[in-house]
Amino acid sequence: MKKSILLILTAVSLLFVSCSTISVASSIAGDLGLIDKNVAKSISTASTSLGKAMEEITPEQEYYIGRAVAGTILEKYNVYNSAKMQKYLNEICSAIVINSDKPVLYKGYYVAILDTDEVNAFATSGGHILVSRGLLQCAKSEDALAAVLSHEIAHIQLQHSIKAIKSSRATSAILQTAGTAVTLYNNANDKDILSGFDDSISDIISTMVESGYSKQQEFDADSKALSLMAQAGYNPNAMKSMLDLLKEKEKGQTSGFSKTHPSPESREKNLQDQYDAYQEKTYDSSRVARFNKIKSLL
Amino acid sequence: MTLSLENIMKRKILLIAAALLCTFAFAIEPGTAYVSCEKIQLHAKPKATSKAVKKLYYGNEVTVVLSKGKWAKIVLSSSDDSTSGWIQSSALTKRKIVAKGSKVSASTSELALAGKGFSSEVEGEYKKKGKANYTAVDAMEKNEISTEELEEFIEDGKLNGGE
Repeated sequence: MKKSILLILTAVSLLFVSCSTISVASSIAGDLGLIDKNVAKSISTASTSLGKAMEEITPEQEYYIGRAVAGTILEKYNVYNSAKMQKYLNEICSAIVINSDKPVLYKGYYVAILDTDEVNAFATSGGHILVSRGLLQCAKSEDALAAVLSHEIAHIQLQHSIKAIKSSRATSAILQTAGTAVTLYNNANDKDILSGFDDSISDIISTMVESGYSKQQEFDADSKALSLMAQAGYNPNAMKSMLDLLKEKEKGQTSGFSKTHPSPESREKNLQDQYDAYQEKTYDSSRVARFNKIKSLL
Repeated sequence: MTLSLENIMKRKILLIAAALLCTFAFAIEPGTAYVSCEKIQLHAKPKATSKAVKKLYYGNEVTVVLSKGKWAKIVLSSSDDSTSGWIQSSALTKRKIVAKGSKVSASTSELALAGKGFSSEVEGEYKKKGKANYTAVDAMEKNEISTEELEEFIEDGKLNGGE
């Protein structure tokens, strides 16, 4: 009994303490024999510099990293030119974020449509959400569009792209410029900062475009997406219909979204018991009407 | 179904844990704080679609008087302006935001340095590498939805208003 109390309290505290605290907590847990000492040591070492950088990163830094990431993706894809559709998506996005726990970033959340039939989507730490026309065409309702955007917003709010930064030049540049080390590093070499910035962007792009986030991060983004949808008043069940349609669309595909995301089947399995937590909602008729009016623009 | 004493205890602990999480997740303590986003509207009520009172900018010093959910009631700390209103807590930081090169006596862990590194300066250098299409990024950032447009969109679609 005492052990279970201890475990629950440890879990709770780990949920809202920083990564650097995790390194201390893991070494204490190791000393107490709660986890293996060698495991404790490796958690502690690995999380110190990276964790510190994640803890110290400012919204301003996240914004400028996000701009460069978005710019890199927009070198590869053209933006689909439909002011009306872009406005509609930005309205859905705003409705979701203002009801979320993180309604404000350094600048804001912005959606743009990538002009490609590929099924793909990217989200940056600066709040830029880039969704392909191919993915948007799968959606059969405004609530399904909200499911797509909520998944991307979840990646932003869970700081998944920032967690993809691995290079030591990048983490040290973040620490040097975050401000906490202001007196030590006030004269940090501009060249080092630029290479650290460059490394951050490369790390994020290679994760987003090549390897993908971890399966667990994708599952976490899906779970958070359901709560974001419910908080905004959208029907979380629309996520299920979106994943069903993706199953069809992705059959036989091995690139893009299929390469960087777990299969729709495994994502559905992860979510299957989570829908019950939300009150059953219907699709509001005025949302159906406005979606039907605008869907031909895609 | 009968619950054993142990199960009742476990449930109680989980409830306390959940309550703790809710309290710590969004609240910001009363006292001095700084705006940590580029610009933000100060609202008359703790609701995103309520009347905008004033626009605040990165680094503006404010005093938090109380927290309600994800909202904080603040008073401006300026000597000639004591406007008050509501702002989303996630737009505030307890770390003092200082301009590059300023001499400050606060402890370094309480500071965030504005405009140094990973900022518009580094972006200027990074642009020269020609790896990113910043014109397209600037264009997408111009797509702001006004409070009025959002309010209409929310009401029409029977969505929630961000309280």
